[in-house]
Amino acid sequence: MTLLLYGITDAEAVAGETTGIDGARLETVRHRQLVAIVSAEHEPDQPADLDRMLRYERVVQTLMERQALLPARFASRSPGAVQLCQRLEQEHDALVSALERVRGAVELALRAEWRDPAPARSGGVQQNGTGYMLERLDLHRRATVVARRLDPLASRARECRIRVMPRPEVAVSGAYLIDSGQLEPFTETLRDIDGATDQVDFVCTGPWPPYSFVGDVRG
Amino acid sequence: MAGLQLRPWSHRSGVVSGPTTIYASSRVEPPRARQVTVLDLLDRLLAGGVVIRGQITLAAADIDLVDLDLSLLVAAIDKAAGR
Repeated sequence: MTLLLYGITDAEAVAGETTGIDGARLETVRHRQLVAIVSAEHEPDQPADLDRMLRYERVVQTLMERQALLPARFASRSPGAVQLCQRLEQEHDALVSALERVRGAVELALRAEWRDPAPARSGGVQQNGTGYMLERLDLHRRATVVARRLDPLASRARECRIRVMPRPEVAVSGAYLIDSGQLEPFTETLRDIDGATDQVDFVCTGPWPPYSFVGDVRG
Repeated sequence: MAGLQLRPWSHRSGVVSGPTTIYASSRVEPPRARQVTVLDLLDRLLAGGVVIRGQITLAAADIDLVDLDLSLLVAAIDKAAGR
């Protein structure tokens, strides 16, 4: 048996009546002021299919609504409570610090995708190497311009992580850590940016647990 | 033209609504917006979050979905979304 980790918090009563992804009761492993939320897993080698991921996310979402939470990466497991406590001790200060950073905040995800995907898809077909590189350079330059136009969103957020052209068809992707009550102002700012931008389309999703803002506790 | 807010945030309703598309440009079709929501979910579950060093076993770690071909995921996402 192993322990499947959902997240780490510092609240007193956390698991409540929520059950884990396989109907297993949620349990807490406490160490100093940290609490790891886990469920016993008797078959840890189950395939990581999408249905299982969606159920996992629902559990984490429920927990996030009750307290500040550092969500765990899907399928993070510990062989037992003792070993988990050892890790909580080793990472204690970083986890406490990360919890303070995300308290009262949620994560939003933003993608800006090229409205005309043709240049991103060309992949150098029927071009020489120089032509391909120049096209990519131009695409990256345009993506950088799009990223700059998103600056007002950063001012609405506690923190943000921006990636310029993570893939050719995506000009910019971003993760924003915002106060829970700031969703509407953030959306309004995005609407204004969208109205003044004609090269990309935006999709913003959330509110997510702060997966992208857990600090350096990433293994 | 600016987009529409597709669904209000019901975070405080007591019902766990889960993440959804909270804004999409007007040219983005709802099915595409839903695909992005699932992609964002996968991105976060598999590449974000706390990983406790050492004795944690990661069955699906270090997979950066951003680098995967989007088309490979679409069928699975549609299935997961019940479409």
